[in-house]
Order: sequence, then C-alpha cells, then structure tokens
Amino acid sequence: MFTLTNEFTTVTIEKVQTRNGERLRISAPRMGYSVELDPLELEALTWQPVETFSRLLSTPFGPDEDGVEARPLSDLILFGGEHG
Amino acid sequence: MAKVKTGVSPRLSRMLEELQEGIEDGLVPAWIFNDPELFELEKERIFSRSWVYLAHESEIPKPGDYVLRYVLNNPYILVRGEDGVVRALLDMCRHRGMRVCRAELGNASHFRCPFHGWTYRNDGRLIGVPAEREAFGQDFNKEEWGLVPIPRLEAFDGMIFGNLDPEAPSLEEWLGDIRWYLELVTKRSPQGLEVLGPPQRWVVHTDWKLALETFLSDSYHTLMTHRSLIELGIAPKDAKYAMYGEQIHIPGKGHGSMVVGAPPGAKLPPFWGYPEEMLERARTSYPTREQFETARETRILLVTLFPNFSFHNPIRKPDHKYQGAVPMLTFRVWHPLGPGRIEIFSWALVEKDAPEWFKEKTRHSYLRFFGSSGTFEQDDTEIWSHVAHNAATTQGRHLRFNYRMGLKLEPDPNWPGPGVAYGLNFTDANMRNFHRRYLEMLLS
Repeated sequence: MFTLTNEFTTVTIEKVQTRNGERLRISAPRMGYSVELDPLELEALTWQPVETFSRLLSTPFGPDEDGVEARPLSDLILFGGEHG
Repeated sequence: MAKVKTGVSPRLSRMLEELQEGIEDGLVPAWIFNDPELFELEKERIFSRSWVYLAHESEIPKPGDYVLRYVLNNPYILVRGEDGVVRALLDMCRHRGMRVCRAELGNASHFRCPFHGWTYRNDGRLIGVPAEREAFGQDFNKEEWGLVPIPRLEAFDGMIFGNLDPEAPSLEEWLGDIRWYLELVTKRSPQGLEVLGPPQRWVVHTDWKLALETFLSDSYHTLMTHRSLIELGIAPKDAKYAMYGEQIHIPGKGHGSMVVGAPPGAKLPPFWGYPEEMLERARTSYPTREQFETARETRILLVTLFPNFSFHNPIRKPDHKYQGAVPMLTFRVWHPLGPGRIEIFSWALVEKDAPEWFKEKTRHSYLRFFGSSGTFEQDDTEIWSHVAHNAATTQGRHLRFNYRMGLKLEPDPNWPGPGVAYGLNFTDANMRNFHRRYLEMLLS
C-alpha cells in the first residue's frame, strides 16, 4: 500500500487479490469512499481527457443524492398540535 | 522631463521635485528609501504597470506543476495546465475570496477551495460547486466564475514575467537591448538553464531600491562590505577587483549590467571558470560572435531589470580548500512588502546540460556565498537595513546621497554590446539611469 497526497486530499492505493485475480483499491479515508478497479477499468482511465475528471469533480465532496427533496423546516414545525 | 503631476499630494510632489532636480547632478534624497506615502505611489505607478519576474519555466516542467508567486500583495498560482499552457491565476476563490491553494508549490489537476468547496481545474475553469442545484439553481453558469488570470503573462528564454497592466507594452519591448546581456546566461548553452531547487526566501528591513542598486551598479561596495571575504582569500586579492569591467545601461528602460573581467595580473580562468566543454558549447550556442567573445573575457556578470529583478553570475570557489574556480548563478526578486521592508526570493540556476559534478559544486558555491546562508548576502543585508532605517529618521531623511561617481566619464566607443557602456565599473551611471526611469514612471 502506498499513499498519494497533495494540498487537497490524501488517497491510499493498494493491490488486492481476489480468489482468481487482482484489482487496485483506491481509498479516500477523509471522504470514506473506496473503489476497486480491474485492469480493464484502469486501462480505460488511460485515455480519459481532463474533462472526465472535471466532470467527476463537479460534486467536489462525492455524489449528490438524487431524489432528496429539501423541504423547508417550517413544514416540520407544527402549530396547534399537542404542544400547541 | 515631465513635471510632477496631479494625483500626488503637495508633500510628495515637493519631494519628488527634489529628486528630479538632483538626479542629473548626482544627488538623491535619503527619504525615497523609506517613505509610506511614496511606497503607495510606487505600488500604483511602478509595480502595477511593470513586468515583474515570476518564475523560471524549469520550476513547473510537468502538467499540474505549480508555484505561488506574488505581484505586490496579489498571490498568483503559476501553473502548467493539462494542456501544457502556463497560466497565472489569482489565488482567490470567486465565491468568497478564500485562497484556493495554500501550498507554495505542488502538483494538482484541480484546486478545491477549503471554504465552501468550489473546485477549479488547473486552467482556471470552475468545474465543481457543492450542492450546485439546491444552492444556486438550474441556471447557474459556472463559466462566468473561473479564477481570474493575471492581465499579462509573457516569457523570455524560459524566464516568466507577469504584468498587472492590460495595456502594458510587450515584454520584448520592455526588455529592449538588455536582452543581449540576459542572453549571456540564457543562451550560454543550447539547452538553457534549470533551477537548483525552490527559491530561498527571507524578509529584510530595507527598501527594494537599495537592494536593487547594489546589484545594478554598486561595484564600489565590494572593497569594504565584503572585505572579510578578500581577507579569507575567497574574493580576489585586489580589493578593487569589481572595478575592472564595463558598466552598461539601457537609456529609457532603467535596466543595466556590469561585466567584470580579471583584475590586472590575476590568473583567473576565462569564461567565468565554467568547464571547458561548456565553453565549447557556448561557441555555437550564442546568437552572435560578440556575445561569445564578451563571455570569454567575463569573470563576473550582473544584470538588473527594472523594477526588481537581478541576476549575479560570479566566479567563486565552493570552499577555501578547493583548487580551481566554480562559478555560480543566482536569480533574485526584490519583492516589496511595504515601506522599508522587502522579501528576497533567491534561486540558484545552472545549465541543464552541465556535468553532474559541476551542478553539485556550483550549488555549494551558491549556498556558501548567496541565499539566506550566504556570506556575501549577510554582509549586504545588514548594511541595507541600516541605510533604510536612517532614510526614515527625522534628521537623516533630508540628507542627499552622493551619486556622483563617474559623472564625468565618457562612454566607451569600442564596447561590442548595445546600450551606453563605460570602461570603468566604478560609476553610478546605472543608478542615475534607473532613477530617471523611476521618476518617469512615478510622474506619468
């Protein structure tokens, strides 16, 4: 395992053995995410332009959750109920 | 010369007239080296309109490599994009103004602001905004919110300069004939130069002009300021060694050079003492025969660019036991922090194709004599800070300094290079030329 660091984050990288093959595990300890990529996925990374990574970083702290509706807090404040 | 104009207080106006009246007679008032009101005018009329040296391209050779550099108090990320293009981006998040990059050097494809997480690609484009849709809505246009590039960025032979004035003349025009002297180091080898590590940086309580003048013109100080190094046998025995050379200024530009040869009777190797193979490469690498022949006779070369860049390229020995000579090359920026306060940025450089043993020796020569650990450097900075102190005292500030050295010298008609050359390096000619240009910019 080794780590790669710059001013913005730290990731750890390690080769992991599966029963019949191997993958590369990239973990972001501060974010709590981890991914295991096989050689074909890694190969596909080699021809990605910088735009691909910019698109991935369009949500800078990991994926936004879809379908979560932000409701006003006032919706949750009940008047005239049992405490009213 | 222009009269002192509007936009300047009556107090400063009177004081600048004093400088204007004195300069051709070789008189410079002390107060210009430490005055808060003058510093504000220098910020506006000198440093907001001049080409300021930022970095050498060898500091950021690969995509994503960056260094932070400063023009006045503006921090710029000087970064090579994934497309190979070098940009200088103001290190200020467009959302709320936080620094998006706080490391002085590194490698990054994207910069993520530590305040709210706005994320920029290393070409300056804003590409990521946390909770973009909820926070700013569907029609938020990220293209309008990229990092702000420096108004002008240009390079000469690997030397990268920035300018805050969008209307400034080109760097080539700004440099003018001083390019001939810059080329004596930038074109000494076909491969050009590389830095030996990041710059050393330290704060000195002095004025940027005092530091600059020493490297621009003051060959006279070596016989006293650096006397201990003569006594140690490190500098040449003849205390007047820096006198034996030509002093050249570029009229109207403020730039200048000192080209020093060997003192009479002194056995110093030609071509600064660089290894023979480098001399041979230089023979075909220099654009002109005049530059090669000049270089062959040179032992010490200094070039200063208006307003605050100098390089110094002297023959030295890495230590007193070393048999033979090892030259060193340092680039430096006299970065103004405030009245009577500067930060020195000091780099060591060497030819990319120099032999490896030589690179190590020249680095030792540099560390021994210049940079924050350097003996010559410590001699100079101690003195500069006392002069700046006196320049702000109630009694001292009204005194006028003597810039009359060499006032009656005639130019050397046989000098092979451009500019106005004097055949004796004990002269203040380059300083007088600098102050003319300095006044011209302050008053326009």
